[in-house]
Amino acid sequence: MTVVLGGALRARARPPIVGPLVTEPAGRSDADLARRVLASPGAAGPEEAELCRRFAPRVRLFGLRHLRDEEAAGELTQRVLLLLLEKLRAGEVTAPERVASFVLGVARRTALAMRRDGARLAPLEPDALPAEAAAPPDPLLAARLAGCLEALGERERSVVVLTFYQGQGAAEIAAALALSEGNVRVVRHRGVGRLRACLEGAA
Amino acid sequence: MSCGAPLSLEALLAYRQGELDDAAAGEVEEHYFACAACAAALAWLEGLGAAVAGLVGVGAVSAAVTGALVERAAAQGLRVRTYRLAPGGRVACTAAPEDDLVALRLAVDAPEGEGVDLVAEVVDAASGARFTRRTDDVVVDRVAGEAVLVHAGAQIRAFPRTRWELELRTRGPAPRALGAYTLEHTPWEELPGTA
Repeated sequence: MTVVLGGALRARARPPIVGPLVTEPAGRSDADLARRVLASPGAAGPEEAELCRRFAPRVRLFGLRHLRDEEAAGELTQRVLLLLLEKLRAGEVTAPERVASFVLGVARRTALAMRRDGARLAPLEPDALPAEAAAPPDPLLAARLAGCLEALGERERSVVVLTFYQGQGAAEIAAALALSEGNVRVVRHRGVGRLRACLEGAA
Repeated sequence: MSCGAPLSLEALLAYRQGELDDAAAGEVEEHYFACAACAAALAWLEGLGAAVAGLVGVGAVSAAVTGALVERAAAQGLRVRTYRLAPGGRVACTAAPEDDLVALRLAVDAPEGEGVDLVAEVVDAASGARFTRRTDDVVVDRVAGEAVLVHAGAQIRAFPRTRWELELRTRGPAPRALGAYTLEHTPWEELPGTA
């Protein structure tokens, strides 16, 4: 079965560079959308697209955490959303009020399969592949972030850089710098909080 | 879009960095899959991490780091010019046009549990003008026994011919010198044979 995903999934889920934290107003719940798709299988395109738009970034974040690879996280996202739409259209999601747990469960099983069987997974249908366009980097936001990093305290900047460039956890950073893990967590939390405030102030 | 019991920034950081056990990580996942606000907060954090890594990856960030980070940057293709100095050491230094980063690796026996400051007395070779640059609370790579300072190549290239007398010292009301180091900086274009 070929499932052509709506335009919402084609939108790039990952921002090219971080800006202020932006949230969106509440609308219909995930469960409401799932009920609508269940009630009108194949005739609820906008609701399907909205579900994909909402869950794509969540699945991608899950994939980054568990598969440690942007490309693999993107593939996981496609596989999970395809299965979600198939199950909804087939009426096989029996508890729409728990659609988030359903998606998480599918993500866990699919990630496990990708780690275990990686190369043996069936390729996706070409039509199902999202046509993501590479977003150009935003030099203005990059300059803002560089300025915000420069404004951090020396220790905060060091811990932030080791966290995000070196990918180190608090225990590794603490061991390298002979600090306590608690101190690293405090410095990291303060540094990220100051970056957020600085970026929001620069918006 | 709001959340009655939002995940803390610390919980999101610990989750992203893989510091939580399976049960705790699972709880975070159950929450953000059902919570648009916390999913957005985690996505913002992920974007921040990628953006910071991107800036470091193009040599646009100056910071005290570890030797391992310098080696990773070089392995990922950054052009890193490195100067290693023991206490009392002196070196003639520069930054070439193609250098992304200049790494200064100062050997130091820093006492555990004490913070370290860096004080630089800078003398302009042409005018004789002096100024002092102080950097408080510099982290030290205790595994390697070094203070590892990386600077963007562009930042170093902007300096005129200068002498930098550096001193690492303990923090606090009665600082103790841990090591002195001298850098004789010459702009690349003033070096013989580079014009």
